[in-house]
Amino acid sequence: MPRPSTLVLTQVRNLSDTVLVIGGGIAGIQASLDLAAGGAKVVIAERGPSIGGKMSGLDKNFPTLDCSICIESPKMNEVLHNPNITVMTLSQVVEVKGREGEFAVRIVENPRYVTDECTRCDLCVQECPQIRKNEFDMGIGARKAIYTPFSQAEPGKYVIDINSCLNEPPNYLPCQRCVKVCGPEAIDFNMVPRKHELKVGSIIVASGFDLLNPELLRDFGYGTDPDILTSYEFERLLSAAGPSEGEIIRPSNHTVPDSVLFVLCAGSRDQRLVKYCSRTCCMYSVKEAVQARDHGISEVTVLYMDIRAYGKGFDSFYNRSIKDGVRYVRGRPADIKRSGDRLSVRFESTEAGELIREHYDMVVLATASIPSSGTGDLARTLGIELDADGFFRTLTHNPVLSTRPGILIAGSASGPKDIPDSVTEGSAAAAMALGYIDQRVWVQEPVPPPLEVSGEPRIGVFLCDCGSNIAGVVDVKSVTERLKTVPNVVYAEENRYSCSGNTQGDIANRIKEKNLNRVVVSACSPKTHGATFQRICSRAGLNQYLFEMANVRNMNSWVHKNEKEKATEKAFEMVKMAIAKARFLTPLKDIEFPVTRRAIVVGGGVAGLSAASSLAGMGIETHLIEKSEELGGMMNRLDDLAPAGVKAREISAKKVEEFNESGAVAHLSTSVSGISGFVGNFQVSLSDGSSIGAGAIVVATGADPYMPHEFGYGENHRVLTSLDLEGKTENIDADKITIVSCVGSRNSERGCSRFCCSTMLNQAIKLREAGKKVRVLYKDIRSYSRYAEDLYYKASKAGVQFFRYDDTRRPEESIGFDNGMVTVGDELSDDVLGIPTDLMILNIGMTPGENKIASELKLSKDEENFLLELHPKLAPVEAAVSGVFMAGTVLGPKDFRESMLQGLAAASKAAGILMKDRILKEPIVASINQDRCTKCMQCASVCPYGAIKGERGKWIELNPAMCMGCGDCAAACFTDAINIPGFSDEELEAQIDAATETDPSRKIVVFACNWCSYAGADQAGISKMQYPTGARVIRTMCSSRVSQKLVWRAFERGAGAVLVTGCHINDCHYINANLDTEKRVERWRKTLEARGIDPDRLQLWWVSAAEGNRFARKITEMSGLIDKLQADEIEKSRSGFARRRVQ
Amino acid sequence: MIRSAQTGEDYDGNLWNCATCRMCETTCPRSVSIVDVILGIRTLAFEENRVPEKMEKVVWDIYENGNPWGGKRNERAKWAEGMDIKNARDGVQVLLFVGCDAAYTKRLHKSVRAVAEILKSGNVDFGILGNEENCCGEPLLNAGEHGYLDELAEKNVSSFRETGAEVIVTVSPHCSNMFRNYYRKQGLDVSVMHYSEYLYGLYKKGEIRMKEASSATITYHDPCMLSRYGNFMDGPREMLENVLGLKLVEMDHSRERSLCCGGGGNRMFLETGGSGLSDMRTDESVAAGAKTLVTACPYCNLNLQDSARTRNLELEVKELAEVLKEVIL
Repeated sequence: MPRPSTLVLTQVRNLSDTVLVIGGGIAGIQASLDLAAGGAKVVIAERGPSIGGKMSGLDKNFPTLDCSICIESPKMNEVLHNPNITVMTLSQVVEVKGREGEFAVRIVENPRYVTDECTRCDLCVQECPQIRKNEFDMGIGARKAIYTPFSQAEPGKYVIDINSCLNEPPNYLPCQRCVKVCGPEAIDFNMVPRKHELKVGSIIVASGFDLLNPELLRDFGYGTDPDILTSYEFERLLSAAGPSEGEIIRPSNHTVPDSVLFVLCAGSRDQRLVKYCSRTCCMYSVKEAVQARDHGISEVTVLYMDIRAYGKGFDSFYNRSIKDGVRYVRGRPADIKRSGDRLSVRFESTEAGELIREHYDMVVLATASIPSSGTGDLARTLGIELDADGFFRTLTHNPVLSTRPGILIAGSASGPKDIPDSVTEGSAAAAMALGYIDQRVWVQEPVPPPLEVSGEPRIGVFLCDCGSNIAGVVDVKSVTERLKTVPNVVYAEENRYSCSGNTQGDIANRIKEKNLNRVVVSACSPKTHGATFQRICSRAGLNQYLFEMANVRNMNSWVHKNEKEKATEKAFEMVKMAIAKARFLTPLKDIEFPVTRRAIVVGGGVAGLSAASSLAGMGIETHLIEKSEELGGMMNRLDDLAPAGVKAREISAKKVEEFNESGAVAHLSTSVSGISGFVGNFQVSLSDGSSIGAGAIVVATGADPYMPHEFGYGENHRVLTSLDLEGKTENIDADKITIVSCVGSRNSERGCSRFCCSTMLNQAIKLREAGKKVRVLYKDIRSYSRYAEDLYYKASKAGVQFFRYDDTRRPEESIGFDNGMVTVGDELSDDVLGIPTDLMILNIGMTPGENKIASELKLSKDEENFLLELHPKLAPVEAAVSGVFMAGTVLGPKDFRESMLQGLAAASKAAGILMKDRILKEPIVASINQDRCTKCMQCASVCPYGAIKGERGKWIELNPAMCMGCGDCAAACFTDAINIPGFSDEELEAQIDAATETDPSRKIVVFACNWCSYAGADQAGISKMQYPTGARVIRTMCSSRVSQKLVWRAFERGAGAVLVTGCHINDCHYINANLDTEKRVERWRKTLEARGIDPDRLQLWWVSAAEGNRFARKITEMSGLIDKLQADEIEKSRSGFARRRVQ
Repeated sequence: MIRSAQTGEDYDGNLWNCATCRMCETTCPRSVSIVDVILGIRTLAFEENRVPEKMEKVVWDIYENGNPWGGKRNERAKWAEGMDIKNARDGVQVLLFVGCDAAYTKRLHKSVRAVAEILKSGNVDFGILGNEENCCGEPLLNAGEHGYLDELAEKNVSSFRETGAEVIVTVSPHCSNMFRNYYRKQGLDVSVMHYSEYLYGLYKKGEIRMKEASSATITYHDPCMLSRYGNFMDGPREMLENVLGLKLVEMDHSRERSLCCGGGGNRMFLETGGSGLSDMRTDESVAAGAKTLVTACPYCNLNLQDSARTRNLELEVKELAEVLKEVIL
């Protein structure tokens, strides 16, 4: 099998099929999922009790304002349930022997003292007498000695911090309170550390970062006053699941602050502490400032040195924050100290040139990111080198390679990084690791012969007490008895813990004994336990889609603690709703398609070369299409690559060599003329008339350098671009040189071009070394990337003079060049300066250019016309079109290191499809009933994925491979011609009917989407937020599934109110289907109004997975509304929506 | 200021306000040598003849009388009358460099006498240059003058050599700093110490010992030249704390974050009405609960004394040597 040169092994050996991933943060999670998809077995060794890393503690992400845990927890859950992945928590790698392909690794896994029997019922926590600071809340919140760090923790079983436990072996002071209260007997103090010996092919180190101890920043007063916080602490205050439930409060007196000061570069870019730029702090502080404004804090000020908004969409987010009322002052605090009730801060505004003393209620320090504790020890164990800053050293030509073959580095372990860059590196490392294994396995659990399920539904109901969690409030016994009389229920039983190991076996036995063909479990949330029960069904031979759950714990007993009778009645109705739906469930099979195991990479720059070499190295037939006659792309036009300190031609030569050795095929002087097909089965026709079939496509067609018209470029020989200067810095015939930054970048059409500040600093140093006078006119110096800050420091030391000009205007508006004199408004002296200049250099960025492939593949573009990724945080190289991946500058400006990493990441993603000859898909996919369909094409117009094609009035076709199952089309269909299994009209109507069977006017029918708002309702339960008992939640995959028919049905049945909930705008898990929901609900409310019905009886409400309080608040509010409803109002809505049935 | 100097604009505004205390450098995240920049601009100002009048007088006084205070050359050793101190030219191990401030300021005489007495009690073989001692030249550097400074430095180095001393001990930390950092290019190769450093050495070696003192609450003011320039902060504290009965308290700003008295950078000679630094400093001492403020630099001593006296504070300002002299056995 051909391999890229860096992976060539000297002899043929038995390569292990396993990869060790150290660290379970987002980089490790992404690497593991990609590896498992590519057929590798994965062991994750995580030092803490849960995977998720720093990301799981963040409230929202910049610049999308996504709820962090909402988008991360599905991935965490996927890791836990992927049969190829083993997660070891509290684990430490203690020894690594051998070499790439056959490392022998020893891992010590420390005991949790809690077994898999744990049901997360929380009773132990209430009993435990030991209170400690919760590290996850940065010590602001508390936990017990037995605890779960956060409610979405994976693995979910609790953990005992044995150092805080009174039972610390050898048991001097036996406490046993938790043991006594634990129903499923999940606590075992006899657990001992386990030693694992593994053979692995490669190791991915994703051990993350830590934050600088803020007490080292003496001038900033951290530790002397409770109202001086770090950003991470502030993040926990913002989080709805955090210690203050999302309220920003001053720790000193628990009041809401009126004014907050954010201080950037607290320890970073500081020659005394952390010399490098920590890279993420500018943006998370901008984000936190925006959130502070959103929380109604009137004065929000940010003190900064440079605002480094270098990434995609960052600059527009920064500009928006200014419009939102965030005030930015360039300066640093001289001292921060208490003055009465407030904090007194003294600083100089370098823009205004004055000394300012102001008072704030709270100060938030953006503390520097440093190598995670134990990095040095880990480096010694692994035998790899660290760099000057103490992070793992990586190689320039491939930034995921460590100094030892077979050991790869991903994420912040090699220097601070934001989430998308960490995710990219996780995927890139996975791509490299896949090259070290030669057996691919997809672990399958054994499947027994399927049971016969046709005929009348025979439903078995299992009701969980969850210890006293449910049974303490709901009279489960009486509910069980009453259920036995419900039609189609042939069996009902009460369990203490339905999910515990023994009961799991019992349920499987009952299915066989009682000949059940549907199973309903009344317990907790399907989001946490649904998969567990589905596996029980599968093991018994019952199709897993013949299962339904009633979430009686999170949405009933936990939120109606003091209303036992009503809660019992509600539980009975909730189970009946599940039974009603279960009657209509049909057995489903995962959808399978054949895959053409061939990859096409378009574009032969470093991104495309990296992707193609990597794919070919994994043994996949790979074709690279390049329109010019040589490989290398932009590299061929550059000289120095700053700040990496290598020559561009060395990198391109190395990449071309790797490519040639990998066995991939290059098609030079060839372009793509057309593309058809879909994931697994694309057909690409080329300009030479040939056509290639491929299962996946990587688009790496690059971008163009910006061609300036400013300052008479092209006509005035005294004006050159930074690109013209490449390789010519030593023999420039000019003495006084002025460089203008941000030409063509950072204006109303375009954001920051990311790489150009480093280029500029490098050229300035070179010119200075050649004895020139060098002046730089800049907006902000954005030397964010690894070693770039050193370049800035070196340039300052070398005597390059920096002048900051107005950052709100284009350079040509604030700078003049005439008669050998540059005139510029200098911020520092607040004067217009004349700078004698022989030569002006325009520092240019990138522009997207034409992209034919994008239109062929119908790829979306962002606001700057670069290609748009599926998700800017967690899917940075995936297109919304399945099977299409993107890499390099086609997605936006970036440097060569970032482009290569994206190339590798795209290869890893493509490998997930191409490693197997079939592609599997969850069967929640729409289908069209051609007899009922009128071919109006309404469905096609709303489908976020373009999965429906056809011609109005003539034909229609739905491609199941492209359908993601949101149900937007079904809601748009006027003739009920679209069916979504699991969420069909009849299933959802049956739930509505069951919910409104008794006392319907006292009910609120709530539709909740699977991803955000249902999880938010779960969170309300976890946080024990009490709200009235009228809500009946019906889960759909997306809020856009909710159709007019369903809403009218609820009113027809006499429901008091209907609440549609979903993900916040831009958080939608189906691109932007929730925009359709918004439009529809608005329309329906108008209809209600027209019919004389209070439109507030139908409401739309966005709830994120963390916003339990938001959910509870809305239910409370709407319950007040239905309390006031008069009988005639109910009658009006009931009769108003009585269906004229068309048979 | 740098920008104004770069563009040739009026840069004098704050140029002479700098006390060269280096507080700015300790807080600068970019480790910019701000004081060097200030002195660089002052050099430019001197060359362009844009120096305040008083600064010119300092330069001329040093040129004519070897001191910036306008004192007569033959009165330089007046403080030592009746003390029987060896002339260093006769050959000594330790040269005590008195410096202009202690020599010509009457109220500082007791501090330099205290230094001499302690040295005597420790049986140190030391001597002075008497009336032939010259200014160390720091005021010239601060004024931006370099030509005569180099000449003066050479003259001083050769007279130091004549004494054969192995160690130069200075009364002012400004002189020791000057010798250490500026005189290297003139080839000064003997060890240079401020008296507090030298006495600390003797104390550590057990050559001077101290007895119990009267009980008093004291605080120690770090002179810039010893703290931020010299990184010598523990020694004085250790000696003071070991003097039984003395209770050492710390002010709000101490050690490398210590506030300057306001006298450095030739501000001593400008009498610009004061920036209030010494007032702030004495207030901090009182706030810390100290009855006595101890320091180890003539500038600090004078400025802090003035602030305490003119504002009638209940605070006694003392030189470290004076405190030690009282308790030395």
